[in-house]
Amino acid sequence: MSEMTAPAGKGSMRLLAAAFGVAFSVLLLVPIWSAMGVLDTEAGHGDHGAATVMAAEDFQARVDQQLERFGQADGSVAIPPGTDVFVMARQYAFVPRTIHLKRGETYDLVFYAADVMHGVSLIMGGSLSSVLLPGTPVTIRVRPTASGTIALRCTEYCGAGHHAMTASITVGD
Amino acid sequence: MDLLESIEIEADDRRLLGAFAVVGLATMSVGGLFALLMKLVRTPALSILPAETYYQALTGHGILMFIFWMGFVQTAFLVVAGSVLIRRRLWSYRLAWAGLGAMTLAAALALAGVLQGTNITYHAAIPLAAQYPGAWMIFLSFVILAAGMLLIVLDFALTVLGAVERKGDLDAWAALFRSLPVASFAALAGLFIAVPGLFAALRMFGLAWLWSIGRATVDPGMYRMDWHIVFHIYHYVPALTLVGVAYVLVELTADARSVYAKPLAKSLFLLYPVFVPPTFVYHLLADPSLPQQVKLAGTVLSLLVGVPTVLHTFIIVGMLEARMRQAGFDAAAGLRRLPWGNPAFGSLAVGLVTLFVGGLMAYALIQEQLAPMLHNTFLVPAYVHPIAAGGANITYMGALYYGIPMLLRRRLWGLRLARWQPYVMGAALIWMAIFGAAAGLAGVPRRYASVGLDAPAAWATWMNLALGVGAMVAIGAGIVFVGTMLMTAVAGEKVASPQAAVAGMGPLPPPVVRSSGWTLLALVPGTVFVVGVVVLTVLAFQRLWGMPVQLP
Ligand code: HEM
Ligand SMILES: [Cu+2]
Repeated sequence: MSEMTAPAGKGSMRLLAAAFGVAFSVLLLVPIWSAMGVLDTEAGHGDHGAATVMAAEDFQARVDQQLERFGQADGSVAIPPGTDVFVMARQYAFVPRTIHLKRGETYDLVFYAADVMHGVSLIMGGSLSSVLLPGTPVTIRVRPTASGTIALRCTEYCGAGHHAMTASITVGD
Repeated sequence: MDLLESIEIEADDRRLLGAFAVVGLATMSVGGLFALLMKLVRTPALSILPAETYYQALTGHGILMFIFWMGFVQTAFLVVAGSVLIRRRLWSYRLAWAGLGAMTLAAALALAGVLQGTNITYHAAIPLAAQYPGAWMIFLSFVILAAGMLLIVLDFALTVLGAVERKGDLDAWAALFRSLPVASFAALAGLFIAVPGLFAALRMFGLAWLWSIGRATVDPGMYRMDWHIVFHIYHYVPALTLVGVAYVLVELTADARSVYAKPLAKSLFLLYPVFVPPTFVYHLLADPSLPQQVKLAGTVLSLLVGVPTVLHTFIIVGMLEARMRQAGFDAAAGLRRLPWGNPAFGSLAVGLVTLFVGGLMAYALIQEQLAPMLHNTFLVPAYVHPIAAGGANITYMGALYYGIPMLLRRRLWGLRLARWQPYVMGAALIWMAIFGAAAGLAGVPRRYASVGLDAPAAWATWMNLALGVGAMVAIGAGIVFVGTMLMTAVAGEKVASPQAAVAGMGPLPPPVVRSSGWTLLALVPGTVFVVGVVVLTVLAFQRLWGMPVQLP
């Protein structure tokens, strides 16, 4: 095989410059985000609220209180608009397991992991999820726009019963 | 083919690399067996094993494949880059054997932990691990692994840097860096991320091990942050290694050399240590503990993470294009004449394509605004596999298609089968990625034993397609690969030299008829990639906005 050397002509240098241009043009996503209106540096959009630690008993008290005020005969809770929803996550269950919400209203869903790390995913069509670190309540603000059922699943592996950690939100008119 | 002709493998290197191959392939095979078990549980149409088996197999698969198999390849690459490729002897063979011994011990310990039912995944989260009496085995195995790898790193560094006798002489250093082949330089550049990563791993897993035997306390939040930093660094070492291996493979299989000056290719490797460390944030985008501004900054920085790889792809594809033009072919004829039937070249090409597919999906995942929709869904394993089991793993398999016959001085057994193997495996992984992504977008979580009876009907369909078909074929292709390697060792035709062992592996490169060849087509993959990233991003946002649950 004959010896050959790099053909480093002017043309190839221009191509190289073009390759750099192409590679760095992934940064174009920044103006694209801006054009789509998803480049907000403010807290708020999909924000999970400030991370403050809370004792498990305190959170449990809110869940119990919620059951007292809004509990139904079948053990589910029906939450009126304008009220926060409290959901406790422990190995291997969410409490309450069934929640009724109204379509078109905005709710703050507050989740809390008491023992180990869990996650929560709200599944309807696609899914929206957050990690739940033990001891830190996480608020997800949602507005369900269609009636039906939102399935809740734990999304952070939490032990043998991980896949059994399910709950659901029914969205009614 | 000067590189191939120049290769000599000394007896010491043969023994050492042979041992690496045995341990590495054994690890990969057990990891693959765990993949099969997992698939048997997770494919809804099968679901024939209990959920507990799935979590156990998930733990074994993640640890053996991702941590250990990749670790053995990484360190074997250091050995090759520090001995065979630069025609030197390692600084110390004892040290390298000690390193390999420690890593092997660690793999055995981890496997024992897994078999004992320490189902904590490779994530090994705290405090969850406290509920598993065998957790100490997993943590300790990570400590021993990091220590073993550091021994080999040290040996490699002393070998390469020891070539300079007068340490104060800058010219001598410059001459060394100029003379190193691209792959060896890549290995050296990789140390800038590997060494801090390994020391961090020693510290954090050391503490976690002490915690697991009740001798220390560990803050779960800190551990989680540290874990993601270490893991992030660790998973870029294969990214860098696969590119280093690719430079060797194009030269070996297609006789293509660097078109642009080698210093350019080398300096691109130095971009990894610059771009990689600050971007660990993208693993924590669904994490409530990080402020919005940090996530956004992390996202913008993360956009740069693919830049070095896109540039390397331009150079590597350009090497091939220029070589074909030098042989007098135009673009179309040149493409046809590439040595597609050489299993090592086929593996390289397929590795780059699957890396491309996985990379596209990865760019959607690193966007903070999309994280709530994508994180922790099956989209994550769907993108991990084309990158890790495709880009890295298949490229490494390509290196072994040459490496094993050369080490053993035996011709490859089953060349016909081997020609097809990379294409089948790549197609299966891309299939698994596409339907896995569909499953993820429909909300199927990752690391999840069962989709459950009340799950949306689409879940079972996507998972049956992704795993029932894709994973099955990928596992089959993996078995074919291991089979050809084993058969080569026992039944491959014996030959006199490493060169003779790989002669006839693929078509000979066409002769060079002119000296220049330009590389316009080499711009295509990068351009398509960037356009693809933009298109996928816009589509992903449309989907996010179209969901019936809105985050106002
Ligand atoms: C034939 C090939 C393979 C098949 C069929 C396969 C299949 C799977 C499956 C079904 C999962 C579980 C995903 C989930 O339920 O969340 C998984 C996880 C994973 N696999 Fe593979 N795999 C293969 C090869 C590899 C290779 C070669 C690597 C790495 C080098 C790898 C790395 C991983 C990692 C890192 C995970 C995630 C583990 C976790 O989330 O804890 N896989 N694989
Ligand atoms: Cu859970």
